[in-house]
Amino acid sequence: MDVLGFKKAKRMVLECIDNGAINHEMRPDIDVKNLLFAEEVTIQEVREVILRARGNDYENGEHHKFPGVEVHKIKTNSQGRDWYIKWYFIDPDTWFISVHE
Amino acid sequence: MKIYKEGDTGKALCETCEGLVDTIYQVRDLPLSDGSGEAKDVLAIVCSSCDTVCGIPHQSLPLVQKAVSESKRQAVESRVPVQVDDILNVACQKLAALPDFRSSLVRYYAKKLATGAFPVEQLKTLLGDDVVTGRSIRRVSVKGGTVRSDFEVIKAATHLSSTDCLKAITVKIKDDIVDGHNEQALNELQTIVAIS
Repeated sequence: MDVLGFKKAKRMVLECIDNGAINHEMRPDIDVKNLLFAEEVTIQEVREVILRARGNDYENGEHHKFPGVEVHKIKTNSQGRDWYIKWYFIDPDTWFISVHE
Repeated sequence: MKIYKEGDTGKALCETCEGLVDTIYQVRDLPLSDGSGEAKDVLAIVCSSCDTVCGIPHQSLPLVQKAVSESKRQAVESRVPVQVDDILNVACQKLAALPDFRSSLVRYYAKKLATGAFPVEQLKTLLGDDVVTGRSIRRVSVKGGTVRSDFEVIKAATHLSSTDCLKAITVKIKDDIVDGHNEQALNELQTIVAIS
């Protein structure tokens, strides 16, 4: 698996959000607990959380179902809320797996 | 922002094909994970090989949000003591169902009570059970079907609040399912679990 690491993954996901190059994963139905789907957060709030995240808020690893696909995770407390955000890239887009609290 | 249209193509990870696949953008009805409804006519990213929906483009998010929001409006939401929520979870275990079955379980009882199949008068007595007393700190949301209108019928007949109706129903679920005193309800619910 090719590893992007935190700084590059962060820069790329922020660019994708700014460009609207975003898809949302379905497996296979709409996860009503996903905060984006439940309209409990906006994509701009997600952007803010990612923007403020530091290296120690970040983990990466291989997708458990798709070997070779690097999954990026941010687990952090921001503005009084705990966040858990996961995504991967399929060039040129970001695919959000989940945005949970 | 790139806007996609029906027939556009791309790439995605497909769980069914277990890899990176070619995709086509198609309009689909997408079910909500809790079974409470679906988002209709959503532009989705579909695997060209196996027809599995892999995802949605960002432009489809508002339609998905609308479906989730509408589903919530149809929900019965209450704060209850923790053990009320626990009873619903244990009942699901007893039925060999996943915890997500809780909504279906409460919907089953709400329908039976609203239609007179179970006597609605018993709810006030059930509510007196000590098992549902305590601080109401856990949120329970029951979604889908006609649960909201069924609760309205029950509330009108009993003059109880939604929360008290839910607590009383939970006492009945404990008696019928957890303690196994209602074989017919147990059998019917096991059938529902098996086919859902």
